[in-house]
Amino acid sequence: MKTFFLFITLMFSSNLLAQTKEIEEAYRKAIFHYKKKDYFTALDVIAKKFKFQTPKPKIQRLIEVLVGHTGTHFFNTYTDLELRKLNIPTTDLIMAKRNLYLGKYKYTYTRLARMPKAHRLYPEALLVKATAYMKEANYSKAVKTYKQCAEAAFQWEEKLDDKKQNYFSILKETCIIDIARIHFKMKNYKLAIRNYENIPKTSFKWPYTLLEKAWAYYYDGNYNRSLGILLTYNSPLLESYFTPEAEVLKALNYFKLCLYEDALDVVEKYYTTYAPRSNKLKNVILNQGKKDLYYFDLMFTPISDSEKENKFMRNLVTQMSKRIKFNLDLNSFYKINKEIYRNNKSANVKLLLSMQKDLKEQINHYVKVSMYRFINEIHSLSSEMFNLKLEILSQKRDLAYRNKTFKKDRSRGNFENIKRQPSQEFYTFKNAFWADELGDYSLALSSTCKTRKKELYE
Amino acid sequence: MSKLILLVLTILFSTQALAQKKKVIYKYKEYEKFDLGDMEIKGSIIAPGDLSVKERRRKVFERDLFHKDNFDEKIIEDIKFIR
Repeated sequence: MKTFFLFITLMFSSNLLAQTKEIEEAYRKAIFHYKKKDYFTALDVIAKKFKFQTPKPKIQRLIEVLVGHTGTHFFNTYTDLELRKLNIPTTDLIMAKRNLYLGKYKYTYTRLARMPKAHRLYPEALLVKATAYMKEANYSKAVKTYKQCAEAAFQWEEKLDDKKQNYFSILKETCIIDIARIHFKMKNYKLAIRNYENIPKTSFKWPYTLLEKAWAYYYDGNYNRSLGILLTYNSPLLESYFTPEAEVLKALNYFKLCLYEDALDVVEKYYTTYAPRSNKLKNVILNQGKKDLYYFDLMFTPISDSEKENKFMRNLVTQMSKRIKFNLDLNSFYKINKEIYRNNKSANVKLLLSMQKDLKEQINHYVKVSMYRFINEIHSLSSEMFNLKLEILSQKRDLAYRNKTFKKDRSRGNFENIKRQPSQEFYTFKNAFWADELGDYSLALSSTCKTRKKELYE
Repeated sequence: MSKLILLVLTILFSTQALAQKKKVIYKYKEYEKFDLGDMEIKGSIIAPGDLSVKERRRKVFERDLFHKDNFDEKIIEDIKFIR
């Protein structure tokens, strides 16, 4: 019996020894690849060993360093169980995000609880945590955490330069915008506007905040300011940021000012200009989209060519090329390319090629989804426009039945109608969009909603 | 005696007559003519003489126009667009 136990113990210990040796060998190889700058190969060598067991701290540190070079997309195919085994901040953040999307907020908090404050992903972790609070309607905690996120991102932004600085800058702005969105949700429109104004005009996020700010002014009853902000999208600089929702809001603003003819003009323009253009885009996509990696290639087509195909296509390509996700993926794509063309004998070229193909498909899918979403938005909003048109016709009919008409006629507007903050200066618009004025426009239209009895022979 | 018999008979007949239901016969006019033009109504005129319709409040149907309650979807989308 004793011999049997001895045999079993010996077997286990030799197995354990072999495993430890294997891990040590993988670690040594990973370090070797790391020194040769074959980061993707190194990550693959070491990470796949720890799908079912937690690595030692020194290996965890190495994986963290490697992910800093490769990006997190390497773990996209890992299951939650495999990610948990790795037990590093990067995988914690990935899992927290997955739980957030699934609405499992409790697990989101658990995953992020261990995120070190000095970690580069800490600001992003705060963003995810704050969003979980927001989803649970815990708004005060959400605002507090978003503020912490903005501060943490700002500290990193100050430390770094170039592309990494951009990432933290956009993260900081995302947190500020989310604070504004919470105030908007709580109907504190003035507070929301104040937060939106903290986004600098040079930011990539700024054109998108214009629409949200215009909504805040709309609900605050400042229709002239809302219209002015929306007119900013007419400037040549922001042409690429056309969004169909802006047109609907424009029509709604005119409707609220009882300028029915202006509202109907916007509705008609939507039907005659944007809807056919969107149909054209749909046809182009349906014809060309079947080609393998069509959308990926589109992102690298010169703007003049994509504009020839369709104007919306150019706009969408411009918008997408500025998103962080696209840039991070592209960055990884080029790094893989570099690793392939460096032609190190030790590099796992087969793995690198398959990873590159995955990334291409990922970008292709992402661009495709964004394009279809845009087309669908145009179509769904066209029914909203139709609804508004019906409402205008119904209001006009009611006026006729009551034998009434508006007291004032549509005029060119009056400076008295412009609501200004003490800090805001006033200049008249002279048909030129100056960069520093963008987003600060206001119309001066009078509301014509007061009615009077119509005379018999009027 | 005869007086007594007469009294008894009178009482008998009168109770019988009482017990019998009274038959009431209604008679209506078979034809009656109204001359509306000839009729005269006493009183003062309070409504205008010409045709008029009383104005009533019309029901106002308000459509549910496009509105934006929150940007929750955008918040999630922004996280997805980060990486």
